[in-house]
Amino acid sequence: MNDLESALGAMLEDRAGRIEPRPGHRDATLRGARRRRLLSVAAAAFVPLVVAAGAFASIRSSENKPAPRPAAQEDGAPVAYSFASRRGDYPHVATGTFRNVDWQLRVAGVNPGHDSAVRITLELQGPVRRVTTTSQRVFLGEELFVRYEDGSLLFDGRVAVVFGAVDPEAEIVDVWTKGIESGERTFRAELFEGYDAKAGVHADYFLAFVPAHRTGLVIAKDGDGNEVGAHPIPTR
Amino acid sequence: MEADAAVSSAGGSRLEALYSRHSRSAIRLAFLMTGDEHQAQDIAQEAFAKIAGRFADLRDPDALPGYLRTTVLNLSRGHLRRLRTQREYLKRTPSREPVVPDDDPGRRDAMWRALQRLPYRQRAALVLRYYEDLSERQAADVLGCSVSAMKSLVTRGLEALRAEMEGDAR
Repeated sequence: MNDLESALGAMLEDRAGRIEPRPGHRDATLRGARRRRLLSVAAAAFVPLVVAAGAFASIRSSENKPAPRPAAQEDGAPVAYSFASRRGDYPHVATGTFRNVDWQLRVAGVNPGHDSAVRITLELQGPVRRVTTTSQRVFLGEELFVRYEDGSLLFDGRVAVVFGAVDPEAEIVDVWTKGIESGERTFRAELFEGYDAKAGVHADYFLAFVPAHRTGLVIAKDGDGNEVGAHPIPTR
Repeated sequence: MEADAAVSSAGGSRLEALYSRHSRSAIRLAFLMTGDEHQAQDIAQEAFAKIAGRFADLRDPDALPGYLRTTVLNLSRGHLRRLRTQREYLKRTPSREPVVPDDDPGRRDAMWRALQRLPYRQRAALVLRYYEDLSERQAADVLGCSVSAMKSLVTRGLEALRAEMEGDAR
């Protein structure tokens, strides 16, 4: 080892030797690691699906803004699960059509006057059936709330809808799915922003059409791609 | 359910043991790669979280330190990429602040600055060889290259380091 190599080794030891874990690093690290591990275990487990049923009717916002755009592109190669959407005015978040099924997402304050929570409702109306799914209360401060609608009766058992609320810090919501034969796929959800002021709840809303009968995770990320929340695709 | 809890608990204690044994070295490795102590702490934290998610897939517990090292290096590279993007943006944006020269005369400080200016793979090769004390084969495995490529990275890194320091001295 020559002088430069020896000096380099000594310098690296000296610099690194000054660095110690900051106070609280251990607890924060273990907390984050345990959370990630739980998500990993949940994602690996099979998520049983429940078939939804219903009659039909549709509620469409007459005040929709004409701003259709594609969403739910699959790893850059769109097509199968893309859809167009129109933003609505509160309490209508958005409406659209996917494979001849009309969908509508809307929110409603649960405690008028206090504005501490909302319920999110998804309505799907196919040619002969309608499915309505309403979430439990979504409280202020939840980083990610996810609902799953099987949609089997409307889409021949091949398509499900993942929707929910997310902290406005998130700029991306991805739905990662894993099928026994089809492997892993990631779908980008459509994110509907700017409803928090009227709803009184600090949240944005999202929706994606994905293949049915898959285990999966919904992952929210900030603008730099850092994860701000993750949630297994829930059972009903 | 009890089995799940047992697995979870076992994983948790394994994680704590892993943290106790390797946190300091993970933070220090990240610091040597990024030159930023706060970022290094965050990178080590993120690396442990990522490793935790892989527990279920790992057949060999002895492989964990290796995974941790590789994860720290990958996260450091991501950080450096973002930093490069920010620097390029700042270069295009005229600065109103005067540039204050770093006039620290110490040789180690000069070497430290020179190390920070090396390309990522050269810096990683030098840190793995002269700080982590890995063999050429082990370091090559971490960086995913051949042994001859590792030798080349180290040689070019040392040459660049020497040249940078001579440039600093002038």
